[in-house]
Amino acid sequence: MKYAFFLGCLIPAREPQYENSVRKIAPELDMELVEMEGANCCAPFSIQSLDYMSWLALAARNLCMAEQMNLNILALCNDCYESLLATNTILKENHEVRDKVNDILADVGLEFKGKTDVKIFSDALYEDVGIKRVKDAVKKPFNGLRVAVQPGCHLTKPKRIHFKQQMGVTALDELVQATGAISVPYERKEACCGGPLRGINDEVALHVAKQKLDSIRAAGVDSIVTVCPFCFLELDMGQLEIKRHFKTEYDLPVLNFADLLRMAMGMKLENWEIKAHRIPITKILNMAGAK
Amino acid sequence: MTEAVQRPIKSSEIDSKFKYEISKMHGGEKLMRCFQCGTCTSDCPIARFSDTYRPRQIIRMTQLGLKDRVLNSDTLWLCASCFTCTDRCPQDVEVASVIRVLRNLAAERGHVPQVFKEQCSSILESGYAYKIPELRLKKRETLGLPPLPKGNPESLGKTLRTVHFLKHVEKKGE
Ligand code: SF4
Ligand code: SF4
Repeated sequence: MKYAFFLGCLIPAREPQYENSVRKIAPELDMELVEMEGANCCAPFSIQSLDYMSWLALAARNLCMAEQMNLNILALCNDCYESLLATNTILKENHEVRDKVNDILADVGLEFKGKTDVKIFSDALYEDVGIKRVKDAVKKPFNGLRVAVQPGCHLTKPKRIHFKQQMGVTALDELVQATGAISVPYERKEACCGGPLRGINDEVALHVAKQKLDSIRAAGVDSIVTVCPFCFLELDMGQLEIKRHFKTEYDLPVLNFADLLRMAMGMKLENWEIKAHRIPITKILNMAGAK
Repeated sequence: MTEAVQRPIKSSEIDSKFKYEISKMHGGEKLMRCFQCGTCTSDCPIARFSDTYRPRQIIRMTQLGLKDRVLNSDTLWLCASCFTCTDRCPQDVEVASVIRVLRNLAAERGHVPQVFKEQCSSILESGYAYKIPELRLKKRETLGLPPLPKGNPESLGKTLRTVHFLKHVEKKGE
C-alpha cells in the first residue's frame, strides 16, 4: 500500500521520534511512504477559526497534491487528520463550496476532484494492513503491560466525519492489544487533553490535563499510549507543570503508539528518542527487553 | 462573559437579524434548533474549569441577537474544538461549528488571539503553523531522518492572497 505521506509541522518540530518510528515500521508492513513535495499547513482549528475559505483552500491544496499523486493521504497528527478529513468531506458533499474553492485554486493550477481518502496512521494500520498482519509482525510482545489509550479528540470526533468508527471502540485499542498490551478502560478516555488551550488559557489547560491524568491513574496503568502529538506533549511535559502547579506527581510514561509497536516488532528506540520523553520510559523499555 | 450576562440587556443591543446571518453560514445552519437543554455545557471539558465559558450561553446569546456581546468577548476563544458537544447535542446543532462561524465574524472585527496571529505569520513564512526550528532541521540528518520535503512558497502565497488570510497575519512591529 502506497501513501502520500503528510508530515505536518508539530511532529518534525516536537516529536520526531514518532516520525522515525513510522518510517521504520512502514517498510516492514509494506506501507510505502511517498513524500509530499509542495505540501503546506493542514489548517488546524486555530486557522479554521479565522476564516472558512482560508481553511478550505489551505487544506484542499494538500488534498489536490495527493490526488495528483494518485494516492491516499497518510496523516500522523490528529489535527492534520481532522482538518484534511473534514475538508475532504465538505468538498465531496457540497458542490457549491467545492466550486468556490476550485476558483481559488485555479490560480495555482490545482483542482479538487474528490479522488483521495484521508487516513491517520492507526486507521491505515487497522484498515489497510490489518490486525492479523500487525500481530504477526510482533516479535517481542508487551505481555501484561497495562495501557491507557488516549485516542485524542480528533481521532473519533466529530462522528459525522468519522462515521466508520464507533465511539469509544477505536482501532487504536485493538492495535494496542495486538502488541500484547492490555488497553485498560478509564472514565475520561474520550475527554480532551487540554492541549488546544495552550497559549489561550494555560491555567484551564492544566486543569483539563490533570483531570485526565487523575482518571488514568485511577485505572492503574503502566503507561499512556496515544497517536496525537498534542496529547503526547500535553500529557508528557504537562506532568512536570502539574507537579509544579498542583504538587501532584503521576510518573506516568507517555508513548506514541508507533514507538510501542516499533519496540514490539523488535526494533530498539535510539538514545535521543528515549530522552525525548520528559517522564522516563525505563519501565517500558525493560518490559520490551529493548534496553 | 458572566459579567456581561449580568448586565441588563438593552433592546438597542439586540440585532434581530444576527441569527439569520449565522444560519446562512456553513456550519451555522442549525443554530435555531437549540432548545437549551444544556448538554453541551455539562459535557464541555472547558466549562468545567472555566468560570465564564458556557457553550449553551453562547448559542442562546446568538439566537437572541446579542451580536456585540458574543463577538467582542474573549470567552468565545476558549473552545478547545474537541467536538464533544457536536456529537452529544440531541438537536444536532453542531455547536463547535457554530462557534467556528462566530469566531470567523469576530476575527473580521480584528479579535484574534495572539497565538493564532503568530501561527498565521508562521504559515506565511514557512508554510506551517508551527515553525520548525532551524536547529531541528539541521539535526535531522544526524538523527537519521531524511530532509523534509520542500514547500512551494510561491504557490502558497498566491492562494493566501486570494482568501481573507493575510489580514490575520501579525504585522511586524505593531
Ligand atoms: S446540547 Fe444542543 S440543544 Fe442542548 S443546549 Fe447545547 S446546543 Fe442547545
Ligand atoms: S467543542 Fe468546544 S464547546 Fe464543545 S465541548 Fe469541546 S470545548 Fe466545549
